[in-house]
Amino acid sequence: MLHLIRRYLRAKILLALIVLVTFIMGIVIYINIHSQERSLFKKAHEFSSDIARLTYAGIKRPMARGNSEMVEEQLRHIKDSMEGVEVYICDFDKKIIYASQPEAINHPISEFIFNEEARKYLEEMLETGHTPSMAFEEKMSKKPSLAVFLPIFNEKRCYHCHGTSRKVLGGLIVKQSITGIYDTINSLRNHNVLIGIGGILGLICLGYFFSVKWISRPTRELAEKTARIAEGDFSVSTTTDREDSIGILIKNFNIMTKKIKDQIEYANSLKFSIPEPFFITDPDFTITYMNEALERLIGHPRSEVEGKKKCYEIVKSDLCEADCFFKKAVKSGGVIMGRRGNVKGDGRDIPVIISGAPLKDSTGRIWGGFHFLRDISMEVEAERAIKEAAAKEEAQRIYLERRVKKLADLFAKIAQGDLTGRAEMEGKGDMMDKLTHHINEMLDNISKIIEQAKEEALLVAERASEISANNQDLSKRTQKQAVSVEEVSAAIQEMTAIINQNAKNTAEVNELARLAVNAAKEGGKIAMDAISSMERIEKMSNRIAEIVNLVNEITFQTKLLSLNASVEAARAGEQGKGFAVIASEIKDLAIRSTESAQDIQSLLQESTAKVSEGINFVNATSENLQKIINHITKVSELIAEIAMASKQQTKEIEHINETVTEINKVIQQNAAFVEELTSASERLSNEADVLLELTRGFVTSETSSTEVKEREFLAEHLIKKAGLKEVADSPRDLDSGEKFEEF
Amino acid sequence: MRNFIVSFIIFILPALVWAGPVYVGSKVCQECHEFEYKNFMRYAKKARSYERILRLKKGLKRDEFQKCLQCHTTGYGRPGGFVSVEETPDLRYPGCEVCHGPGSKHIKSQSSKDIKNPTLKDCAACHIHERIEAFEYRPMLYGGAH
Repeated sequence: MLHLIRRYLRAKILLALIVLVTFIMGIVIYINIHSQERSLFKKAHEFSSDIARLTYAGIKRPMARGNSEMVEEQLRHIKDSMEGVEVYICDFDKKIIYASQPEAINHPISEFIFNEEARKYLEEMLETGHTPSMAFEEKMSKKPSLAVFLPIFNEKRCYHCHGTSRKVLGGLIVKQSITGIYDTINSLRNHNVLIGIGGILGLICLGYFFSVKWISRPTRELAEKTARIAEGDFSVSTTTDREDSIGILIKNFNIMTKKIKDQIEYANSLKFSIPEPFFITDPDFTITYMNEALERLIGHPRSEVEGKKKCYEIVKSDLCEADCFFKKAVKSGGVIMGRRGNVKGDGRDIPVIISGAPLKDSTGRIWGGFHFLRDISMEVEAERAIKEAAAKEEAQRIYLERRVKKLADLFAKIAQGDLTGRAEMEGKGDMMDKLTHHINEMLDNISKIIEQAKEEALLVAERASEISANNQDLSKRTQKQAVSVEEVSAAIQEMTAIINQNAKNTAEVNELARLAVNAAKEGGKIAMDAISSMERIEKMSNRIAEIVNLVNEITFQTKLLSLNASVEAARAGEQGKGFAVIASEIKDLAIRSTESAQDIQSLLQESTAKVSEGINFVNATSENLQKIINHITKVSELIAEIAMASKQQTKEIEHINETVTEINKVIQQNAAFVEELTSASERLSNEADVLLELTRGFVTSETSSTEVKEREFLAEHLIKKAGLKEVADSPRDLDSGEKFEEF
Repeated sequence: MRNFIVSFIIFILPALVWAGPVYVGSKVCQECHEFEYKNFMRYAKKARSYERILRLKKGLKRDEFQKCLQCHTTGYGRPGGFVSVEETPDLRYPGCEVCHGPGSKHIKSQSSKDIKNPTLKDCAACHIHERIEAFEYRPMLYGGAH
């Protein structure tokens, strides 16, 4: 059985279905049966409770009337009409008073209640009147039954017989046989179990059918195809239109098969396309594959070798016994590169480079090795040729090195300035002899050139020294000239500034003259205004004189009136005394007014005379002012002409200044040029000295050395002379016309 | 003994002292009124009601039970009336004298004057309104019980 389950997927699925469905259906059946039992027991309880209530309702009235016969009759009726129902009525002392079974009367109720819990509840009910909420499982004639209890309370109607001291008079107990319920439960259970088993079987069959169809069969087909692949048959393929996991598995199987085939083809392509001699062995060194290149190399046909010969029998390498690379590769697990050795082929030793590596499966286990033999006969031949060529090259190199060393020694002498040496000819007529010949020629020519250069350099040094000395004089004179021109330019600039200041002052004077004219004109106007004011004063004075005359008349009239008043006051006698005083005062006032008017009149006359005199003065002043204006205007015009002349003069002086500036600039440029010329001539002199110094270092021949010494003496003399001349000429007067002529 | 003395003092002594009629029991009446006695014993429920109160005795207090005896025996608590089953066994059931009164004088004289002819008022001594309501027990004065 276990073997079947382990071997077949469908057996596993079937087992899983059986376990799963049985478990689920078992739970469902159990819950169903349990639920039905509870429902039936509940119904039985309700039925028993109904019977108890109905019974009590039936016997309540006869009991209340003390009609025991009627009660007993009712209970007998219950017994006859309701099979399996027993009713007991006990008193508070648990003694049966009435019962549907007459034989139970006067017996303790405990003889008919077997359930201990029920007894306790009954006692509690008879004591407190508390009705149990449950039914109790009981035995009735050794058959299962349910018992329910109902208390009989001591009501008002009961007091006549039972007094009032007790709350509970007794209890009603109904026992109902539940054999039928148990039969029903058993029947339902059997039905449920049968239906459940049927359902389980149906579900298992259905599940098994679909699992076989959807899972087991495709996986079995897939297993068969994978088995074929495992045997090496990669031509298998399968199709499916499913998109679930099995479908994906089948599609992935196809992809995987294709990739394996691709990998095999890739490996075969590699294997077959290797041009080098190549073979594969199993771990026992038996050759399982060799290519045509190896066949050609060793001269053994493949059919005689593959699967039959060991590699060391065929290769017969000197490495096989002593240093088998495959054993090493197996030991190290890596690739062995490029061991050089010989193999036997066609009766001769063939030089080869042997390399290879172990072949491993996915677990790392070595199942063989691949071996490359690269024929290097041509390389060995080429190597020998290269060695010979290298030896020749070495001999040539030594010859050249010797010749070149001689030349190097010669050049070392030349470097020291000794041009007397010459290279040695060996008479081989090769390129080195030619080179030596040309070097000797070149040395001859250079010796000649240097001798000429020495002479020319000496001359140049002499001339350069002279030019340098003259240039230094010229430079100093030019600098002095430039300083003088700068001073002239500064004087002109200062003069220009003074003239400008004059022009500016003239303009200010002109402005002041214009202001003076304006002030004089303003004074003339003021004088005219003063004259008109004085004339108005004169008119007003005349008017005041008229008014004073009027005042004189009025005071005269007042005086007359005061006289009249005095007369009238005298006439009035005593009563006009006061009035006479007033008239006297008025008279005095009139007299004083007349005096004042006369004073005013005299003052007015004096004032008028003074005003006339002032008018005359102002008129004279106005005339004088007009004259001043005329003079100042003329002065202003003259000053304007002076200003114009100053401007013209300023422009001319600026023009002169610009010219002087240009001259100064030219002189500055000349001075700079002379300085550059001086420095250039100094440099020329120095370079001539250097040239002399350089050419002095070259020895061209034994005789030339004395000439050189003479020349050197001359040069040194010239240099010293130039230096002394410079020192002697430094305080010399630069204005000397002789020197300018030399320049 | 003590019970006897107590009963004697309470019930016998008053009877000895009492000079009026006393209860004689229904059996004595039967001698002359055979027909009425049989009818009474046959149809009147009260004739056997002493047994009923005995069934309830254990759940009642003493005074409650004594109240029961007043109507469910003959002449309990009265001179010459029921004392106990042992002492006055003939008076334990409510008999003829419950309604007609003590019959000793009537027995002696045989005169109808010495026996009471009951009225509804006499019935009301036990058949009070509440009991009639509770038990629907009508007095059988006109019921033809005897």
